[in-house]
Amino acid sequence: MSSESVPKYSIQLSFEDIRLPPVKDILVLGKKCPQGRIGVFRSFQFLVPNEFDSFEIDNEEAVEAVFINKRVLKKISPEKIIAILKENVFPYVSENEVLKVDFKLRVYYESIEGEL
Amino acid sequence: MEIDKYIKNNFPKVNIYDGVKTVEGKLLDYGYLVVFDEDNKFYGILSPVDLVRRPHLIVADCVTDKEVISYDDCSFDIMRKFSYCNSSALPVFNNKEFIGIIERSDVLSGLESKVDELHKKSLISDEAKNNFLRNISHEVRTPLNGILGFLEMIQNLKATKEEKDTKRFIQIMRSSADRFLLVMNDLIELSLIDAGEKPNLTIDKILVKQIFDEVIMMFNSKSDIANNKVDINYDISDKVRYIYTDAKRLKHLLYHLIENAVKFSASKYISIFYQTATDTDKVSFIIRNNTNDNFDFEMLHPFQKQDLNNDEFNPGLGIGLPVVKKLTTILEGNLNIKHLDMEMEVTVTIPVRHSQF
Repeated sequence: MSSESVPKYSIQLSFEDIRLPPVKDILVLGKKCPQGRIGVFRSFQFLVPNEFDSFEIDNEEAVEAVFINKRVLKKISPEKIIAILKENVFPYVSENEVLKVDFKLRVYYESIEGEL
Repeated sequence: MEIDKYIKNNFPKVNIYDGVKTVEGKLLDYGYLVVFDEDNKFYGILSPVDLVRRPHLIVADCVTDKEVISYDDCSFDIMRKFSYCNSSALPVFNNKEFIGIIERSDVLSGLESKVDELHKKSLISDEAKNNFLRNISHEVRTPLNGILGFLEMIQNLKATKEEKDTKRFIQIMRSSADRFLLVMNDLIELSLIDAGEKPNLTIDKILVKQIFDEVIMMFNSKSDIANNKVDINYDISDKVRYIYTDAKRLKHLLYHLIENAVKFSASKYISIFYQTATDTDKVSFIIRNNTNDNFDFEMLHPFQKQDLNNDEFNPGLGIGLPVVKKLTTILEGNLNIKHLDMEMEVTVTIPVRHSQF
């Protein structure tokens, strides 16, 4: 019997399906994050052409730009989305951060009436 | 165009999608990089400050908007645009077409050379002017003194009756030559003082009354003043007052004060007197005349002349009061001009004893 120690290994393995880019709805770019608006927009154009619009954000301390999926923009105007983000998201963004925002939008009517 | 000499077509270039890490060294070497897009069109200028403001990974994300120089901008416009942004170079456009860049240092050194050139020119012209005036001293004054000397000799010759008319003409010639010599002396004196030369003073013990008498006599013999019938009234309160100063300069000063008062007097009357203040050891010469005009203090600068009413011609070179001012300084005194209700009063106060005595 040999007394030599033989290295062994252990692997934990799993699979998951992802989609590129890993952002579905909205992406918020901090002012000093490594990726800037043009670079991110260009990579989006390669990965999911014509799916995102970018908006430069003025007068915000930490945020440089936001990317919004055109699917969302079809339902609600960018001004309204940016106003919502300003109130609910931007206060929590630090300037060297890139933030993914899930924006689940449900459009509903209280009641739909008509003549029979 | 004025800016042609500053426009560069050879400059450090980078591509819009270059990584910042790969161009950092070049940016530090040149101080700026000109960014072109994929179609080789001008995109912007990348400056080191951009990397601090926008620390992203690709050049395109770091470039900030900057001023743009138009082809018809002058140096002043260019410097103003540089002052608005932290960039050592700016793009130049002619009809929306990029034609090159201008570096701030080139404009600054161009302006520096221009200032230097203008400064040298001003020094050369100043020196030329002073040399010219110095030469006048020799070339004009010397022959003029010769003419005056011979006129005096002719005047002193015994005259027959027929020669009396000639003598009158000689008197007029002499008066004109005297006047001409005075103007030349003033110009030369002003130029020499301006050139920084110290005047040679001859300080003597002077009886003030005697100086007054001599100056008034000069005016009484002047035909233009005699024709205007201006009465120069002077009051001698202290007939035995002696002062220690340069007699020639004081006489010259008083002559100009009186001449100025006569020229701008609204009436046919001027008064001149002096008073001494024993406690301060100073003597003041005061000249008053009536005037309708306010005194313009610009008149104390050489060649500036008082505007007269009704577009009248204002005779003289505009050097009388500047000469008074300079002579007052030479005699260690001060000049005070007051305008009181239709009357102008000029006071020159000098020490009883000049410091060089």
